[in-house]
Amino acid sequence: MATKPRLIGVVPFLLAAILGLGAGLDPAPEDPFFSRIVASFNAVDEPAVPAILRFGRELSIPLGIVLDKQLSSASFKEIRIEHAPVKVALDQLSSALPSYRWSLEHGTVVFAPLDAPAATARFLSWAVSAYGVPEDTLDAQTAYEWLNIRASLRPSEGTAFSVLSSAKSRKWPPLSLGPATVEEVLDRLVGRNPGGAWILCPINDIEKAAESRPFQLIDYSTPGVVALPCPDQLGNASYSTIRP
Amino acid sequence: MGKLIRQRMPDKNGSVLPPDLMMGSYELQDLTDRGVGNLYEGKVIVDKTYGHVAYGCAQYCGYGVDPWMYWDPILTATGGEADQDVWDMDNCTSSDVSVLDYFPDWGTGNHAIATASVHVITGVAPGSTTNFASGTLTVGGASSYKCLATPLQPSGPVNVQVPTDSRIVSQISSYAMTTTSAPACPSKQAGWYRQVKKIVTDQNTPPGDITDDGSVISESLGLTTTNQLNLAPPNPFAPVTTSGGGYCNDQFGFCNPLCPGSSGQTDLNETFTDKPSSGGTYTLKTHTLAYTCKGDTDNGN
Repeated sequence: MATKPRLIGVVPFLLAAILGLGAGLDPAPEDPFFSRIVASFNAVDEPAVPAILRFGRELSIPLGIVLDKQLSSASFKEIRIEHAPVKVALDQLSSALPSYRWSLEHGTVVFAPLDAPAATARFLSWAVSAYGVPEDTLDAQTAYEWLNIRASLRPSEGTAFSVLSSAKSRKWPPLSLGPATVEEVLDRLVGRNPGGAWILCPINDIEKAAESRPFQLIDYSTPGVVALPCPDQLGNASYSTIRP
Repeated sequence: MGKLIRQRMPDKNGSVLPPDLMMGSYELQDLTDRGVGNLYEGKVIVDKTYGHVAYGCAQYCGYGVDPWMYWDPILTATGGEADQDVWDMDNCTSSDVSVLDYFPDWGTGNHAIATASVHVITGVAPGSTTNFASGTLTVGGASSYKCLATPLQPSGPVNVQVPTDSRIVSQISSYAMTTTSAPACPSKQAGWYRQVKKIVTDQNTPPGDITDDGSVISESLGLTTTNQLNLAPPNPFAPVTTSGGGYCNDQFGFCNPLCPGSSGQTDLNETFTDKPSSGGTYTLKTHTLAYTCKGDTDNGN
């Protein structure tokens, strides 16, 4: 059972703020993040989610993506970015996805739909207790954080974990957070070197979100092909971290 | 040698050795005994006045009579390739060396299980057969008094492995999880953490390790009806690629509000899927992970 009644009744205009749907709310122009220049990025007839992830990986920009069915099936027909500021590049990407906006949250660029379900916003703004994870693979740190998130969603239940790794798996530094929202936890996790992305599956019922971890983290430094999450909702899609 | 120098005896071309010659290399040729010959050099006295000798090979420089397959048995997967080699004792240096170049012809005992292309053995189907090589080797040593060119055919077993199961190779750590351990349990919860090193094993009895680096291992996990600790099942992560000789690490455990006081147990089914670097997809035997407040086991281990 979810036990955080203080978040019930979030009104729509707060949803936009919680999800950071404020591309129109220009961040401070002096933010060094926006002074970076994208030398070159092209996406031609490429599925949108893998293309956005590739953008983040190639430019070492931590990303968060709130998935919906539309984004999952969307493709970029032709995106050509040459020597443009990061903000312009992100605007160009999101303009090709009319129902999506991006925002910078805790150092992570988050793409989210304008009309995200209320349960999605509620999940991302869910308060979790202070918690720390030791140095480990990003997958292991994700498993540990899920122990804590789930403990706040269903405090009467326990959570099991199992994580495979190899001697070559990249270890991420430890992370210790005070009380935070789920979104801040995800943003902080992927915002460290070597950088990564989080992907949140569509959430229509926060009770169901507690049954199975609804997000996946991607380590930009790990080569391979990653199956994107929530295939039951969005179909099978994959994202290749192998550079061409 | 000293006589040749002192008496300034010319060779067939009229050249003589310098009178102050102190060192140099030389070669002995047996001009009358054809074939391998029976002339061999051993100790050469180079300074009769003050006493100094040099030693050469002092024996027939052939190979041993019983070359062997370097990989015995040689292991490969279905569709996989493995490089075989032939080794033998070099009687000149008393060391084992590769004599692969002397064996140009290769074969296997059952082409339905494995084939050979020169020294590359390719797995065709699970099972066992033999691999052999044919060639001619100069065989002989000090005790044989002669070195003969000898046709030989070393052979050995081939084992085409099938990924069938996995086993724990070693335990890396195992301890109770608390709110202060690393990793930690959330507030008001406790549990158990364990990390082990695993390797995929084959179909044989006893199972053999498959030391394939580059295999992609993924896992699926599910709760059984035994869930006294009221756990939610783990969510699987991206597959991992084996390294260091076919190894991967498995970290597993849990946290819940019933520990550390509960005597309950939760069992999960863990199934690995293996995609070897040589191709194919294999679902390995399902293991039972048993979680209690006092420890985690994998098939009872």
